[in-house]
Amino acid sequence: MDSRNPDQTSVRADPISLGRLLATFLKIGSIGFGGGMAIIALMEHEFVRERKLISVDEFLHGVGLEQILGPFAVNTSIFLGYRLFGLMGGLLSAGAFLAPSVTLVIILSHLYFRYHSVPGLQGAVAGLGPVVIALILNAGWSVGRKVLRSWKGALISIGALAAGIIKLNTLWVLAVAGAVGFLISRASPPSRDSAAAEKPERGAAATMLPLALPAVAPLAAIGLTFLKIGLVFSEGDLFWCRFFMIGL
Amino acid sequence: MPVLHDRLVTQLGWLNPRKFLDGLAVSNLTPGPIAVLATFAGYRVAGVSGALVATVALFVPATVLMLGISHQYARFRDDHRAQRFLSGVNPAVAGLILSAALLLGKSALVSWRGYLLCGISIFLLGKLRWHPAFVLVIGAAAGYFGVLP
Repeated sequence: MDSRNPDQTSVRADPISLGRLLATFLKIGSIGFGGGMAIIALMEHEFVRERKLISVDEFLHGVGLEQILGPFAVNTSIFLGYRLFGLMGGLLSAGAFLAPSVTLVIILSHLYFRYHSVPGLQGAVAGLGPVVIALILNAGWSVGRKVLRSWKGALISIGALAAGIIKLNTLWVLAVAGAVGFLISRASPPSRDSAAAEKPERGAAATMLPLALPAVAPLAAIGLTFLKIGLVFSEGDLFWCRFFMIGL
Repeated sequence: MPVLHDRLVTQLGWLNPRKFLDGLAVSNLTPGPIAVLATFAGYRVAGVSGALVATVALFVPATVLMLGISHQYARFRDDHRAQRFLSGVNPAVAGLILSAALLLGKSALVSWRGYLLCGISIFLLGKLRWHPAFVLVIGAAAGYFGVLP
């Protein structure tokens, strides 16, 4: 099932076996206290820093795309699994990632509905909060270091940071950031567009558009269709932050 | 989350508001995403099989979509328009990750001990390159023995 491994060239490190991949997701699923960004941090640790299976850029693309469906960390496991092992990899990764949580929650649910409390857990979890924050900061620094080398990237980062703090919708933040990136990256490299004369350029753009459309159109269709779902769900992570603390 | 609340509590009446909050607590205390709350509710209604069905059902649509998106990504990754767009998305994601840490910190770091634990954790993770699992165990132990208020 791992025979279909298209363009793996951009990933430089030793390949991972499917079993190893699933074991990694089982592990992340087992220790991923805190959900959301904490899981993203763990995945970044395993896949980008330790094993170097995927570049920082691609990882960030995955996290960005995940936001289209609302920030469920499981989406990142699908993205990583799909990237490394295709369809089967995506499905199995999601399963492996979720299995430990589901098992544990079933056990805890059982305890809860039987005894109406889960003793000893509340205290232990109070100690996890600060560690989870350290984990996220660590991952943020690790992925941010590269991005922040250019002042444009730094500005976009700071803007997104501010937008995140005042709890703007994640999807819109990413869309605006992408549009900004699209516009400013056009200006910087003196590409063939600017070299061409004005009229031929327009002509070129017009002919390129239909070429580019088939590639982007299906994605745009998916994006638009589920924009609604995204809008409904995308508050999740921030909401989660609040509830996490209520839970404590 | 509001969606889950609306369906589970308001429309279906599977959980009362208090149980919903307890469920949130349980699913936040455990590894994995908050959506595992569905597992909790499913268990309440129909035991282990209910828990499994609820979880799978909740994730099927997003999983299918995410597979589609991942597939499209593999195709448009090398398109130079898409790359320009993504060149703006990347720093924004980094910023959003940091904003999540700050938002969490506002309510999780309530005492100097919390800050100390956070600082030690950053040191262990970043400088000594400890595996996150060990650092999480230290945090849980500290909390369990009442070091944190």
